Amino acid sequence: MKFNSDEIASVIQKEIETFESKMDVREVGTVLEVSDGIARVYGLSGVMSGEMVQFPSGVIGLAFNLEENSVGVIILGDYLTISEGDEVKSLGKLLSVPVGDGVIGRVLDPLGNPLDGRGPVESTEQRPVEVIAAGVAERQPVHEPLQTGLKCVDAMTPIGRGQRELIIGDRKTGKTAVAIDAILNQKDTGVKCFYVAIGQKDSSVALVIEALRKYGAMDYTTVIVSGASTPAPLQYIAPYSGTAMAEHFMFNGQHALIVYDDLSKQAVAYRQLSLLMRRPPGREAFPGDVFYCHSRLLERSSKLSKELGGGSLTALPIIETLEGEVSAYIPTNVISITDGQIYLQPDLFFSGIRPAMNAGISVSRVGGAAQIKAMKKVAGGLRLDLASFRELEAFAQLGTDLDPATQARLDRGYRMVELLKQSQYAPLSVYDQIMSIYAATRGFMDDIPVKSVRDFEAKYLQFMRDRKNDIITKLKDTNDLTAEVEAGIRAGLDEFKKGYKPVA
Amino acid sequence: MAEQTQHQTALDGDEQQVGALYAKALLGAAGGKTDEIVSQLEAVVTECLDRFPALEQAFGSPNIAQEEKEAMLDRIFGGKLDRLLLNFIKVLCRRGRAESLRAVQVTASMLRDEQLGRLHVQVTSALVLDDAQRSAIRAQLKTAFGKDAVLEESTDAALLGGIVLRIGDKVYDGSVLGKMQQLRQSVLSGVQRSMRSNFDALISS
Repeated sequence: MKFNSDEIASVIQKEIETFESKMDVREVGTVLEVSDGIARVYGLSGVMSGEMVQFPSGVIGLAFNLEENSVGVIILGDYLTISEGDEVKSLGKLLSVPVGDGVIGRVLDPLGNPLDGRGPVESTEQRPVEVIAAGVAERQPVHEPLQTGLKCVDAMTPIGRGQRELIIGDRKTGKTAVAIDAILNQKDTGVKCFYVAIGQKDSSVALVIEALRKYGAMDYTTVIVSGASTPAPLQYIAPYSGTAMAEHFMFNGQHALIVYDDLSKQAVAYRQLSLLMRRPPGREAFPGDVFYCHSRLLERSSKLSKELGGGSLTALPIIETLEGEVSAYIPTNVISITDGQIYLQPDLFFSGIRPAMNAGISVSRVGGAAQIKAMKKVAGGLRLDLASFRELEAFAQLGTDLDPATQARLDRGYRMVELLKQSQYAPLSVYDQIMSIYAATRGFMDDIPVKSVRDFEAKYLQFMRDRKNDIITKLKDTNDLTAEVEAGIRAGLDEFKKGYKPVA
Repeated sequence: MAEQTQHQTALDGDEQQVGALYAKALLGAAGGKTDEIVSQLEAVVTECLDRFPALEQAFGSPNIAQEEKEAMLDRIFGGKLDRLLLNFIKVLCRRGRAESLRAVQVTASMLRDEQLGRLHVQVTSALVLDDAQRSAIRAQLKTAFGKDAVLEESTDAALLGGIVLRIGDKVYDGSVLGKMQQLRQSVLSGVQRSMRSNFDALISS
């Protein structure tokens, strides 16, 4: 490959010919001090809060604190290139990131610069990072389901398009895994996915990107990375810039899913900035507006009204708790902002129940509105059944003799728990989920040994796909568990069970 | 670093506020002799305080009795300064605000400029300006801002040509260097744009 120098020369010539020089008028200030990610600037008397400023090295900053005699600037880049006495100029615009189809499939930093070595981002449009969320009149209630492909989530805490569902749990309980499976399941649905990694180890982000590539999810996913070693200002703005990119699709009538992994680290980055800026610390040394920091972010996820195209942005924020402490400051804040939470518990995780969702305290405040009819019928009482099973199980561990009815409920409970286990990177379509859960809740698995349940499920679903495809098609067409479909599934189950041998 | 010395304002917010308060009072009391008082105050700061930091420390020191300070002031400035200004400095010492003297001076001359409608402009040029250029700049500033400009000149050969004006926090860059940087930016972005739009034309196999 060689560059054609004549062509390039003509491009340059054209640029020079059309060059119009205007008097460059700029507002300037002087750097007084620089510290970890922030600078204090004297001057810039007309700068506005949130306005971009530029340092001589080309690094961009944001006016963060406007004080009587100085301006506090957060530095979005390498602050070591800035020194005392440097001239800072205000750019008169707000921070924006590239948006559009060009960002899909890319790995970007929070300013929209590529990190994947695949050249510049090809996009002509920009969108400001901080915008106010859509108002009441511009929205409609959440009604379409967003399938995560996880049986326990889709059956018990369904998520709708436009909902904010928090994933909360201790370290190493599979929070990211739930979010990644949800992204993988958006294949061929037209939902654009955004994964925002905040303050994470670069190695774990690399693993996530690798998994997304391997399962073909990078075709519709953008990863925004601000790792543990990036300066706090970039970690702080990363979720906002990811949301700006996702919002572009929402406002164009499309659907998007965004995962913030995780917001506790963003809160810590924001705390660092605020303390360096000498804003007064509050509870756990977080600044007073840390709630607003998260609420204005999550409020931007919404289901737009029909007049605005009916697009949606679904958010899956992740919060890491310490020793299961959900009543700490940041977890309670985000729980109260979101429309429900998926609570992952370490003891469930280590006893092999994965995803380790605690059905009792996980909720979705949107509920059945975000489920298709058939799923609503099949999984209606599942959450309560499982909760009462947990109670019964604790009681049965005392070793008392049980009457046959109680024993039968226990047995079904064990099978249900076994059925809700699911391996990573293996999301199930909602129709498969309906057929599995139907089999368990209607007692078709009661005579299958617990350890064979997952084998039974896999073979049964394969059988249905191979032999009873017409039933699945009917289910897909109606999205409802009509008498005809139900009879078909029952017949299929009876037929399959005749030939099924449990694993030894 | 040269830039920084141009900001003479104290960055200590309290001190600046106190200074502004006293400066207003001083100008109010000065009446007809304002210009004289302001220039004498400037002389006190530049010729005494800047040259003898120990003096400033002595005025601010709580170890030295007020009577002693006043006697010292009389000995140093007696007869040389306007009576009013001397009294003013004594009042400052008595109130324990001697360390605000610089802030008072800066604000006083700023207030005086405002009263007279004067505009302080820092002019940077590649070569030393001649009188015709100076008056041209002044005339232009007079039409643009309606104020008489006080030019503070400096030269910077790196500008290559043209001038850069700085008024307060605003910089008006009319230098050749600035124009060349603008040109460089637009050529760069133009080439980038055409590389994106028709990449093939720029490549010869």
